[in-house]
Amino acid sequence: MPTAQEHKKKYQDNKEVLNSVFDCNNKLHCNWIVTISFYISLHIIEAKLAKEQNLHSRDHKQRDEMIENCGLFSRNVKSKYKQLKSNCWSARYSKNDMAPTIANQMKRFAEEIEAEVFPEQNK
Amino acid sequence: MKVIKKNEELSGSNFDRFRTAMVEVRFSSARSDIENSNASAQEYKMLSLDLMDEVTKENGDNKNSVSNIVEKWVTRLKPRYWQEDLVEFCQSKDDIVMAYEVRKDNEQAFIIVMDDSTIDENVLQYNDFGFEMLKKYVEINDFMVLDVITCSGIEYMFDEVNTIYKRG
Repeated sequence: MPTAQEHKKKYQDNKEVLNSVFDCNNKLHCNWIVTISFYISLHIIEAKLAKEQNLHSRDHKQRDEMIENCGLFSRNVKSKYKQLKSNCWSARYSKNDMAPTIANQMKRFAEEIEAEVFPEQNK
Repeated sequence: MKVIKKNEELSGSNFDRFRTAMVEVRFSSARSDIENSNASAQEYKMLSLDLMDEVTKENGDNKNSVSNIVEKWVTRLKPRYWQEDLVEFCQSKDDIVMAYEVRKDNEQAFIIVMDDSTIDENVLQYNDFGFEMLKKYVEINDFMVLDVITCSGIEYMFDEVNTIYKRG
């Protein structure tokens, strides 16, 4: 199982790719911006679970249960993470592309989750 | 004469056992059919009433036991009323267009479809509501909040999609 540090590195690498390669105003990029934003938030969550409670999830379902029951995350973080997950799923499977407004919102949600879960990263 | 009478009694007793066994098989089969069906609460209610009428006609003595069985079914069906909670919530929000009940691999979920999911306050509030529903009703496995664009074409991902709310 990856350590908290390994999850942190993963989400920071994803962030770098998101910020350096993708453009929210480019419609062709929006599905991927949503998808990468979700995986950034996933690794933030995993890093926190590993760091604070040595918890590691096998799949999305188990992770969702841990998020709900671990007591580490605010309602704000849970709802933003859930919305990232729903839109990521839609970005991959629905027939329509994500709009730039949603791509922007999901990118911001991932940043806000990081700011709340690891405030020291933003100092 | 005495021997014949005994045989008659035995025969009657066997018939009773046979009849009891058949009733059990019938109920077991009916129960299984009902459990595997996707009927609405209203349809279950109609079925229960029909069953009661039918059995009462057949054998008045069975009325109480049938009532008990139906009562147990109805009690077990009560959690299905989560749809009513969802509809009530949707009706109270101007920007909710639709709500779907979806099923996949025997798991049940719901989808709330908004006009525009980029309004933070509303989309987060609807997710909060989704978490409350998950806590309240054990038979709901998941939920999603999408909008008219992002929910387009998702039907094929599920085994079944039922519209349970549509804005008037």
